[in-house]
Amino acid sequence: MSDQPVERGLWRRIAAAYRTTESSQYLRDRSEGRKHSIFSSGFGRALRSDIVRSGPWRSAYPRPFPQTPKDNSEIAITSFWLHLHPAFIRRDALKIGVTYGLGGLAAGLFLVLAVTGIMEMFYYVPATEHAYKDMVDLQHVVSLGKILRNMHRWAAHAMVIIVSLHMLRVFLQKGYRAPRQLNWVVGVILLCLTMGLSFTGYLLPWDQLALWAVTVGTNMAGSIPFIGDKVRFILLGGPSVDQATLSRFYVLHVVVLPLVISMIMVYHFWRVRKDGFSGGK
Amino acid sequence: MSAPSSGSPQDKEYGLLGFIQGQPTNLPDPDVERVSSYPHLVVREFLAFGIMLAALMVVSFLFDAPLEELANPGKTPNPAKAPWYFLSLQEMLHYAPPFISGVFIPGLLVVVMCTIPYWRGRFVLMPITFLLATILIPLLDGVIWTGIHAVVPEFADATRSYGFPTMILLVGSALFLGKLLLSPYFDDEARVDRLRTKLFLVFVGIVFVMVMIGQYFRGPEWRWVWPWQ
Repeated sequence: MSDQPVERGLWRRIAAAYRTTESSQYLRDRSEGRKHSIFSSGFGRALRSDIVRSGPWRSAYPRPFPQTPKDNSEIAITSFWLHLHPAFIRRDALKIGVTYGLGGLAAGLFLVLAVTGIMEMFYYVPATEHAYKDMVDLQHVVSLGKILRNMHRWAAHAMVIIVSLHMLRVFLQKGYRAPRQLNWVVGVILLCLTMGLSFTGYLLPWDQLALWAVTVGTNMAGSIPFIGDKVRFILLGGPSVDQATLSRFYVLHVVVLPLVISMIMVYHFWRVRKDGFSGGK
Repeated sequence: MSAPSSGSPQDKEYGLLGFIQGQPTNLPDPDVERVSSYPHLVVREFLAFGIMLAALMVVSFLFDAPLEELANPGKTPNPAKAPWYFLSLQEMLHYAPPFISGVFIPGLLVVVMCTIPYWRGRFVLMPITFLLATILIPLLDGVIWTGIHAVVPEFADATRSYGFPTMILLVGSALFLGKLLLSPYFDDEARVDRLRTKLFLVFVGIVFVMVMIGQYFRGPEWRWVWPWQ
């Protein structure tokens, strides 16, 4: 298919497209076991051929679009976006019941949270006079703002649940055994960071729920013997939950913790590869 | 005997060091069917992400995130509840001093969770001690404090809010008893494994029940309230 010359010139191309989209061509492809898509014949094939041969495309993807099993196995190594994957994977490890996809879903939720969170940052000002009004505006004035906020909120709750379930799944399948002990520890740290992100985000709407949940939480830190008051003061930036607290939790929530959790997530994924896939065994 | 002058394998000399039993390490098992990750795994990942995103959007259209009235430091809600994933800690606050329930026990639990893969032999004593302390300290705190108060009232009063007397007594006795009774028992790997599974599942169950209690069965002054009341 790909070794056929592509016609030059618009009219020739249209004529060639007409020839190749005939049903006889389609049936011949089918009988020879070739997959048929809009790119496998006619104008679609010519268009794709033009795109994948163009300078910009080839500078991004020096290799042709994967078509053979060999291409498929190499793309996991040569493509930056897919290099997280091994070239080959056991067929029975693909079954949904092996991992339930929980780790991947947690990463996906983190992605959703990052995107919706950044969109919320376009509207939100972390000041005590602004924060609550911005939330109300986001709900009632900004187009789809309510959906945006709902998505961020529910994704955050879902992430805590999914990460916990992921941990339970790994435990029940004894995925913490050698050589994966360290990745279990990294996972525990990630769970704590997830809760930390969720907790710092809890204050930002600056409503009654936020203020008092954080007051309860930071009062616990204040009960550490001897240094408790200092720890609490550092967390709050003052004697009580106020502007300084909002600033600190905001910076923790949008910069510090996401940065830290991203780096540790990357390490977590890298170790999954290095330690080998469990494949449910 | 010529020294190897270039890197090609023909120039190298090898000596047989010995035979070992087992499979060659890096060769894939020929009995296991393997497929390329692209597209088999990648397509499934995109599909899962798409379904998750769609479900999230449906939920976001149907249910609104809570937004209460403006924060008011002068008006304490009753009860003031922490986020649901911290409700198990808040539930423990009901039974034990804040340092114990809010700092000591959660900190210990994180440490114990990190050590789960490394439990073996008599090292099992450490997590058992921690978990014993976690369960017993909140339950026995009042009783033990009363006992210590009868003997050294100043010490008991001064450290009441930290729960120190209870902690020292319990951790000490758990360590002592554990060392005395358990160490030969847990030299068996399979036994450690069973214990680990049981302890973790009991722990998960306790956290789940406490979160549920905190969320649905606690009202003003953290009193027990039935959901239909």
